Amino acid sequence: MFSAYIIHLLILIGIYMILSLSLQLAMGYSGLLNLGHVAFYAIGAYVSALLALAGVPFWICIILAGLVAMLFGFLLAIPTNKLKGDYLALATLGFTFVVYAVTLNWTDLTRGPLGLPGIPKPVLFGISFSDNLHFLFLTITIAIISYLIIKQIARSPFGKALQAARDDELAAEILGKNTFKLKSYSLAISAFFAGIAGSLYAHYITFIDPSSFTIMQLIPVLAIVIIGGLASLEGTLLAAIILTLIPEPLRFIGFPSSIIGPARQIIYALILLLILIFRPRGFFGKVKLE
Amino acid sequence: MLKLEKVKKYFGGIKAVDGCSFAIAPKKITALIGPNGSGKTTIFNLISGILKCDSGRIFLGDKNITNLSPHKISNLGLSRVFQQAHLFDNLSIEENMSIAIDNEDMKFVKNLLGLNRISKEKKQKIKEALNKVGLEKSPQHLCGELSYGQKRLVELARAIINPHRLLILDEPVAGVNPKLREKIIKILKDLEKAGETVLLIEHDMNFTFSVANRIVVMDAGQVIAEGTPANIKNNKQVLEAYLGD
Amino acid sequence: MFLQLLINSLIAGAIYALVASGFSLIYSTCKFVHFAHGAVVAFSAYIAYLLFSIWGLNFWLAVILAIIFGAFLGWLINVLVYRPLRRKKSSSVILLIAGFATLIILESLILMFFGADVKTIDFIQTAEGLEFFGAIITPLQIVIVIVSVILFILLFLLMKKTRIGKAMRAVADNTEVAEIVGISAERIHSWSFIIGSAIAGIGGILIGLEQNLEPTMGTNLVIKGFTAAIIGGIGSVPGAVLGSFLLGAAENFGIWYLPSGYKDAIAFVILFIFLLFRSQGILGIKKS
Repeated sequence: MFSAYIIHLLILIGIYMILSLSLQLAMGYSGLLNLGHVAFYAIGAYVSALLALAGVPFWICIILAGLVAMLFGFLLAIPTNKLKGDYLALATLGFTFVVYAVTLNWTDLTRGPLGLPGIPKPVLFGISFSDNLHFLFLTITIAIISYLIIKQIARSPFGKALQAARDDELAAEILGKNTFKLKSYSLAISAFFAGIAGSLYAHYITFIDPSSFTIMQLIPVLAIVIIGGLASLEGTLLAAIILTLIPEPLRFIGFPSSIIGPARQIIYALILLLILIFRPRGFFGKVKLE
Repeated sequence: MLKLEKVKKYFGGIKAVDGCSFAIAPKKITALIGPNGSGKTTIFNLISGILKCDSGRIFLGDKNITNLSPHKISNLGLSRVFQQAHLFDNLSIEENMSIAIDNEDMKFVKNLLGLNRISKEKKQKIKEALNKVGLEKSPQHLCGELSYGQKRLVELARAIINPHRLLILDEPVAGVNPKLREKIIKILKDLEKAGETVLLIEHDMNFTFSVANRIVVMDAGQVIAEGTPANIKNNKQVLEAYLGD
Repeated sequence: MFLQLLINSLIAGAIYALVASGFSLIYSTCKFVHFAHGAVVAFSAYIAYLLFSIWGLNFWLAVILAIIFGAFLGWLINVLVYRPLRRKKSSSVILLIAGFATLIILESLILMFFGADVKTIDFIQTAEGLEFFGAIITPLQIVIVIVSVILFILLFLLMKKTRIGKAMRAVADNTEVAEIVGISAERIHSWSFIIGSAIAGIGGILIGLEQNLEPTMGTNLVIKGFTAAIIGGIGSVPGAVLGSFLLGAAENFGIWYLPSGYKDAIAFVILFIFLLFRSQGILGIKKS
């Protein structure tokens, strides 16, 4: 029983890692304060769940989840290209609300507030991942691949160009860099991995509804990215572990679940506030949040 | 090399650039001078595409670059140094240079597959460029931590290494100490010897007359005189423009 | 039908304006997006509910206490969260994220204490609506419109005629210059939060009377308030009021064409359009 609980936590950590590493690419490396990340996560979860319920094999579901989210990343990049700072944050946050409204109201497709139950557990190469231990291996594998790809992007010359555009967009343009291309690629890749994380979540929990993807879900991810420190992937991994574990003791104190939910949010939001006030660079941050 | 034809830019009612036409010759250092507010920096912003012209045309070589986006103009052969430092503060000196050297970094798939490590030749080129400005010792230093003078030098080196046909410099010696000034004069002279085409804005007349081969004088958004430094020194109109206010 | 939609627009606009005017007032003097403003609205409404519906206090006393509570909460957020950040010269983005975190904390507290289910303040029994020309308006809705109009007039007079109002406008115009002539910007920031939050409190109570109370109502409202402020020109209180009525109209006429579930999405689409429209040309490629 206890080991089942540990496995469950590790799976959640894995999903949070993918989600926050991808946000780190947009926020830390490209300076895009994207508060619409949860929307990509939702898109990935819904695409994957709907396809799987229609009988499509898992590997196609998860890849399409990433690709559709990526497409929306590109689409969001076009109108938000010229926006900076607060305006970009609010426009992307608005995107989260629009996606939420669509999942809630397009009942023919998403069943609205009833949600999508019975999402099948993944089967890959004839191996079923219905067992949580197996699912953990799958999650860890995908998390490691995501980390390696994002790491590769971040330290390649392309990643340096992203950081250049983050530090000084005008100078990057003057040196011949198409900063719109840089920013839209960054947002799209970030969205791709958020979509992958959404797919994993949907197939793990086997039930999704619009309430799984409100801006409340943004707080832990945002907290992980900022606490780990901008432009630090290792910091993000560590923060994902720590922040997923921190609220867990609440369970053992014996609070009812109606208290634990909001209490978790309060803990995350409070940690985020304290870090902004006392250590805005996070623990391993290389860049100031601006 | 660079030709402006009746370029206009108004900000509301202010005629920042009002029908400005001039051309600069290749392999020469041309200085754009004029009193404060005569529209010099606006001209630079129009040339580099940061601002859009209200009317008129700008040519770089035989290419019409009017109102193209800055990165396109840059890739057609323009390199610029700003008046204030515009370095990538969280990147090292070397990284700042390697971003400028070419556009390999924009090829996403190649980068994703790790097929484009920075080559030895590139590193060598960067080293040489830093050598010229005397900053070769600590290429790993973050640019945000450099002194004002060092920042100016990195920016100059970065603009030089950025592939270009025309280099434009906005007040390259503003606020630098005399020693650094000498250094920058020497760098510019070397550029001229190497056959580079340079257009610069400068308020410091001693500096301007010591490095420029040709001078274009602006006042109230228009070109009022053009010629060699000797011509300009004795031009009545120029004196009036400077002393009139 | 048209008249009914017009009336609905007017009521929605009045409610948004109560949120947007306070928000805009705070934005104008402090120059950042006070995201937690929505939580002040929601919390005030819940306090009114607690005092009146649960503890059975006299209604008007409950209302006054709830407004005072709203003002106090706004002031407290400024002192505990924003002031330390401003002292560290944090960017407006950090203030926005901090406001967002504060909003989540307050909403979660509401959720903990009051639960997720919808609440109503049953002061006015659902009265018969008055009918004119086929459109229906309830007495409460008339009260909402009247109260908000009175508040806007008072706010306008406060800004134009009183010393504190003039100081606020000075700080909004140029904080440094205002400080040089001896106005304490910190004090003005505090007053902006107190006044803006008191209006938010009144708004919260009126919303609580007219609609239901939900823990997440604040998030929705602050986005609406922000959208209204953007439409009208951010930082301008009259602009925010105008923007609110336009937003109310856009939403209510919009659901003529769209399912009513998309009502909220309309605001965000408008927000999008306006953010783009504003930034083009103004920001250009310049670093903001």
